[in-house]
Amino acid sequence: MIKLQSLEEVTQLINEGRLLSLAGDERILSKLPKGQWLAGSTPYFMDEQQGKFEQDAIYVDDFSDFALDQKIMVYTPDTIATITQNRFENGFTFLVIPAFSQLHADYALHAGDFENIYDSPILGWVSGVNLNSEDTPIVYNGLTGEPSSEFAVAMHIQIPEGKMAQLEILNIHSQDPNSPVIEFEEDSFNARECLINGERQNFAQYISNNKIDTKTPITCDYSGAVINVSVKAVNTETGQVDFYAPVFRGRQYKFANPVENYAEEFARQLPKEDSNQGFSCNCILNFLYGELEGKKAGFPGPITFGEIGYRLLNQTMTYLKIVDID
Amino acid sequence: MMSIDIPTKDRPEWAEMAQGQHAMKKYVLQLQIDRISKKMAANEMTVDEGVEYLYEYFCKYPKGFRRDLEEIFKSW
Repeated sequence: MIKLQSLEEVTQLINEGRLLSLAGDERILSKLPKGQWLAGSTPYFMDEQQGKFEQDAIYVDDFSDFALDQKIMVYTPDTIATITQNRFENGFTFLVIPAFSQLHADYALHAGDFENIYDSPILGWVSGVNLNSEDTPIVYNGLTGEPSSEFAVAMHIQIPEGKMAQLEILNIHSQDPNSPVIEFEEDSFNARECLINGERQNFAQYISNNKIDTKTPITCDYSGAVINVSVKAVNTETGQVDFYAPVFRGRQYKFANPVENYAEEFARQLPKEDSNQGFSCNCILNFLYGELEGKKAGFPGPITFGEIGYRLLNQTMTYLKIVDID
Repeated sequence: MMSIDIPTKDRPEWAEMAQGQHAMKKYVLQLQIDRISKKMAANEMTVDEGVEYLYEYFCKYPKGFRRDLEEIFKSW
């Protein structure tokens, strides 16, 4: 299936009753008819050929062919922790959250503690905007056609027995083994003081003094999974560093190795056997810092303001495979 | 010849897994092990409880994680 499609083509798919995950600029998404779909806003994509900025087409993932059953549900900050209870026993949950919402922050801080979070894949993305606009990130519930900049929309999908949904990530940012160990004192999207190799220091000052390239994330090893936290802003006057995802108390972070060529690194690390994935997305920071517009890098997918691979991720390609296990 | 079931719970490899002594390849298994080992480090979970949790988890997907278990347990 061609991933970027016209309004007319997507309208036809919806009217045929297809089960769709969509991504696009809000001006085109708002014209879609009601149906079995959810969507998030972004005008940035990686299509089959290259990275693109596109406001007149919609990115389409069609889950119809492997979905036995589905339910589309809206979650608020008060109900998001119940998302794990609404899953099918064999399947996955696709979740889209509007960037900068309270729910975005809540999910980032607490998803790792949701009951049985890792029992069945929860993947998806954080919706964004044209970076040169005053737009607000939104999500759509296709059943009602309603947009929201506050609530999240999820599609719980049941898949047949004999198949298994597997969520994987591709993180081209590796830990620098020579990095100091950085520890933070609280779970937060920002930090001032931290321990660097056990010594209390101001993090903004440390980054400035050591000329750390903040295009590379700080990273934490989750038993083999390297999870990024991207740096949003460094203010040496206030001494505060802001992040795009939270840092957590009790975890040890390291700076990442610099990446010379993002597109080449994605090509080098892309798993060949996983070319038939059900969904993928990649981060706007990889798109920008790696200058991926016009370049092929990773699997096709929307370019997002955060990736969801059970928990909130930064600067990480996330993808879903539906595999035969019989 | 291995059965399609998973190794018995008394195998020591389960406790080794729970304590993070085996590198996992799948992302979800890395996160599961991380969650369990963090809870054990914080005294919120015993090794036996960690083994029980892991065992029940693998019971749900005996075929999906078969290769991962074979790498650790070799045979059963």
